Parts: sequence; structure tokens; C-alpha cells
Amino acid sequence: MAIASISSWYAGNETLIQNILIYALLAFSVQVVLRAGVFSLAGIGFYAIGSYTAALLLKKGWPTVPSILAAVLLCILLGYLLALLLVRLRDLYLAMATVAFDLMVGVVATNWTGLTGGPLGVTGIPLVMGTLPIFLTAVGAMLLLGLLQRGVLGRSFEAIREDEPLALTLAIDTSRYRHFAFVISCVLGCLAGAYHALLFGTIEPTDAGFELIVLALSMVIIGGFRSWAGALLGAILLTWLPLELTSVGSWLNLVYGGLMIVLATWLPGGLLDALRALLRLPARLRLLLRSPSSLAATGEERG
Amino acid sequence: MSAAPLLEVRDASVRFGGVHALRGAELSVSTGSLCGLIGPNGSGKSTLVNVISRLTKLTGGALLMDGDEIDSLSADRARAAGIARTFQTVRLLPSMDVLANVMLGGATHFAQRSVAVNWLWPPRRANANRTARQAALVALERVGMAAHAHARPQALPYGQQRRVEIARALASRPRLLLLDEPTAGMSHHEREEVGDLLMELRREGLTQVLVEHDLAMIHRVCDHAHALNFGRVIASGSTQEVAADPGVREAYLGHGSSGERAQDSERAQESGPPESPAKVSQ
Ligand SMILES: Nc1ncnc2c1ncn2[C@@H]1O[C@H](COP(=O)(O)OP(=O)(O)OP(=O)(O)O)[C@@H](O)[C@H]1O
Ligand SMILES: [Mg+2]
Repeated sequence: MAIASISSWYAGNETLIQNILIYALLAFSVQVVLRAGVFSLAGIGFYAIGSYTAALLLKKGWPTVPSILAAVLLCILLGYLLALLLVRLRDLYLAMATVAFDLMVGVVATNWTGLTGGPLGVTGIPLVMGTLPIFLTAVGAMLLLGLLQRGVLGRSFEAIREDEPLALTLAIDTSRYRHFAFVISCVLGCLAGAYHALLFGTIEPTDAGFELIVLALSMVIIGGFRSWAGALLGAILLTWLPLELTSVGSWLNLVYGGLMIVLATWLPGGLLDALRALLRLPARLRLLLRSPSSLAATGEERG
Repeated sequence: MSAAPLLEVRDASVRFGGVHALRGAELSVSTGSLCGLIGPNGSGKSTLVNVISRLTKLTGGALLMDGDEIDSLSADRARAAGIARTFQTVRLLPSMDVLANVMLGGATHFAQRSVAVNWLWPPRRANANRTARQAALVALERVGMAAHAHARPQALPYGQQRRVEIARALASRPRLLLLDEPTAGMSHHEREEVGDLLMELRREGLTQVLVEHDLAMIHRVCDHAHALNFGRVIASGSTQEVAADPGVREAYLGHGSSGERAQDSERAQESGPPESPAKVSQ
């Protein structure tokens, strides 16, 4: 009975789940750099590069796995080179440069008609991708990102974000770490794009445009940029909300905007922070009941 | 105690646009000594510490450790080579507890290795986390902060935050420790304790450079001292010699006598951390 109802629920929501998984990978790509203090949105450009590379190779008759691997390798190479080019840029300047890169990828995709099919995009991509490989990739990414944010290594990235000169004096080669986070971001963006193309069978050169940049960034800011879990939360919310809120129509952007302002003002750590505070509440209450004075000490914790 | 200099600064100059923060500063710190650095506000003390820790590049001159030039070393390599420092304004990371902050100071060897391997090779991760933790606990014990290992740094009084900073610098077992006004904003008692700690470290052979406004403190703990004014070393020698130097007296009188400076730092304790006029340089 239960299994039957789960499987019928799944059948009705499979596309939603696929979208969430793909957007989660894209959100991870933004989160992994933001956590390291690298304000890069290049992941969205690599979403486009990944989707075209995998799709075109597949249409040429390449098998699935080599097509995706080739896309990933190309993105590692390009990501590495792009990082060399942008190494001196920080914060807003880096964000602007990477947005420009994303838009340039779109321009190339639209105009290099011989390779990309131009404004019409790519159609008839073999539908070789299923939900399971995407799910496994997303889970793998979560495990690896979890490792990247734990222990001394994870805190090194935090140190770089919060105080880069200090991180240098702690023997952290900050440019190497930033570079590393940048390339990981490119790979995640690439995977999201490749899976999207092979799952839905079409690419349009406008897929990875300004809207996708804003969406991916919103997911991470709303969910919380300090952990992959925040990015996942944001991806789930912003993929699912538009379906639930179809009645509000174009007012949806107002909902996003309002949510962003509220979070930026009161919860810079995103909804994940709110969730964690909520989960800690029972323990805090218990502590309060036992010894009211002890709360003062732990109350400072969140700062 | 060997007289060979561990650190030598030769004719160092640093310019920030039109500001000459250092103009031909000379400094020699022999192995195992505790060297005091005094000078009025804006005389270039923090800039000199930044130069030695490689955060600031020299515009001219040379920097030598063990007789080898190190002016091309990056700040992270300098730390790996054993140059550790504290900051004039406390720089602990508020997002993690005291232990985690100090552990970052105890993982300098790990930090220098390949990020990919550090990430994906479990034995190395586990080993680094364990050794950093041990080093951090030992260092916290030394500065008397072991009981506060799990506090958030911003929840601690200013004097304790400063001691955590010293622990973070000590956790990597440095060869040279640079302390930029480590007792600013501390009570008299705390200041004595930190002085005792520095002397104890010196007895164990750790070479230290101490930037300090309080001449009494310099006198109590240092072997020798250098006085900076307008980016130049205007006096160096024993602490008495430097304190008695007419140039030094004039430099201090020009900006307020040493007596007033002592009162300044007394006042700083009451009103919390003194806001620095040149925050960027710290
Ligand atoms: N990053 C910077 N950019 C521009 N000017 C700077 C910078 N860092 C320091 N300076 C200037 O260089 C001079 C020396 O500053 P420094 O911080 O080294 O002095 P200090 O001796 O440490 O003073 P204090 O006792 O106030 O800490 C000052 O005039 C300061 O304004
Ligand atoms: Mg200073």
C-alpha cells in the first residue's frame, strides 16, 4: 500500500524531482565558491558549456559516459584558465566579470551557428539520462562538499572568506584555495548543464542567461551559502514554489524579492540558519528550565 | 645564547602612495632574544611587522632570515617557514569557536599541501585534524585559555581574545613570533601574566619581536629594543639605553610623554579596544 502510494506520488512528481536535482547541482556550484569568499557566477556559463559539449558529442555518436566525462574535462581546463585570468579580481568586480563571461558564452552559442545550431539551439539529443544517475551524482556531490566544509580544511575556506590576509598568515595559500573552489564550481555547473540537456533533449542558447544566474544566486542566498545543505534547501524551495504559486503569476518575483530582502536583513545565513536555530530551540529551552543563568553564555554563541 | 641574527631587516622602505611608512629601517634580531620595538603612533611599527610577516611588500631594502633573503616569500610560506604573528586589532574568526580558531594556527603544514589530496585522502584529513587539535589544546593551555576552548571568541573579554591570538600563533611552534601590541586593552594583572609568558617562551629559546607602548613592560621582558620614528630606527641597544636616548625622548615628547602614553593605555582598558587610526595596515 505505502509503496504503491509512494510510487504513484513519484510518478506524478518525477519531473519536479529531476529539476530539483539539476538545480541543486547548479546551486552547489554557486555555493562552493561563495563559501570560499569567491564571488563567482561562472558556474552558469559552464552550465551552457557542459550542456552543449555533452549534447553535441552524444549526437556525434559518442557513448553517454565519455560524452559527459569529456564535457567535465573541458570545463576543468577552461575553468582553470579562466581562474588564471580572473585571479586579481575580488567581490563585486569578480561577480561582474563572471556574469560577463556567462553572457559571452551565450553570445558564442547564439552566433557560432556551424557548431551550436545558432539561435535555434540543439534538438533531438538522445534521451539517455535517467533520474537515478542524476540522483547519485547529487548525493556524491553532497558527500564531497560535506568533506570540503568540514575539519581544518573546511575552516580554512571560511578563514579565506572572512579575512584573507589573516588566512595568509595561517600558511593558507589563499589564491590556490580560491582557484580550487573556482574549478570545483565550474565542474558542478557543467554537470548540471550536461544532465539537463541529456534529460530533456533540447538546448536553447538563452537557457543559461541572466535569469538562470539570478535563479541560482537566489537559491543559494535564500537557502544559505555556508553549507551545501542551504543550497539544496534553496534549490528545492525555488523549484517547487513556482509550481505551488501558479495563482500569483508574475507576482512571483515579488515573493522572491521580499524573501531576499527579509533574509538579507535578518538572516544573512539563509533559511538554513533559521532551521538550525529552530532545531536547537528545544535544547535551549531545556537548558533555560534547568539553569536560567547558563543561557547567557550560550546565547552569545550565534554572535 | 647564540649571537647570530635570526632575522635581519636592511634598509627597509615601504611607501603607500605618498606616505613613507618605512624609510631605511634597520633591525637585527638575534636567535633566542626578545626584542622590543617602540615608537610613537604612525612611526611604522605595524608596517615593519607586516613586512616581516610578508603581508606588506618592501619598496626597497632586504629581509633576511638565517642569512637567506626572504623578501620574495609569500605570507603563507613565511608562516610555514616559522614566522608567526599576532595583530594589533584582534582578528579571530567569529564563525568558529576558540579551539577551531587556534587549530587553524596548528595546521600550517597541512595548509601548505595539495588541496585536492587534503580533501579526498581520508588518512591525511584525519591526521591533520588530530594533530591540529592537540597543538591547539597545548597552546591554549599555555596561555591559560584551555577552559574557554568552546567559547565563541566574540563572547570573551578583550584581554582573553588577545591571549587566544597568541595561542593561535604558538600552535604551529614558530621560530619567530611577532607580537603587535599584545597587551593593549589588558588589565595590569593580565599584562603581567602575558609578560611572564613571553619571558617563559624566551627561556625555551623562542625568538620574539614585541611591539609595545608601555616602556615598563619593554624594560621588564626585553633583552634589547629598537625605537622607530618616521619609519627609521632612531635608537637601538639595551632597553635602558633606548629609553634614555635623547632622540627617543624627543619623539615621545613630541607626541606626548611616555608617562602620558602609559595613561593612554590605562584609559584604553576602560574604554575597550583602542580603535586604530590605520586599520588597513594591521
Ligand atoms: N595600508 C596602508 N595604506 C596607506 N597608509 C598606510 C597603510 N598602512 C600604514 N600606513 C601609514 O603608514 C604609517 C605607519 O603606520 P603603522 O601602522 O606602521 O604605524 P604604527 O607605528 O604601528 O602606529 P600605531 O602605534 O598607531 O599602531 C602611518 O602614517 C599610516 O597611516
Ligand atoms: Mg601599529
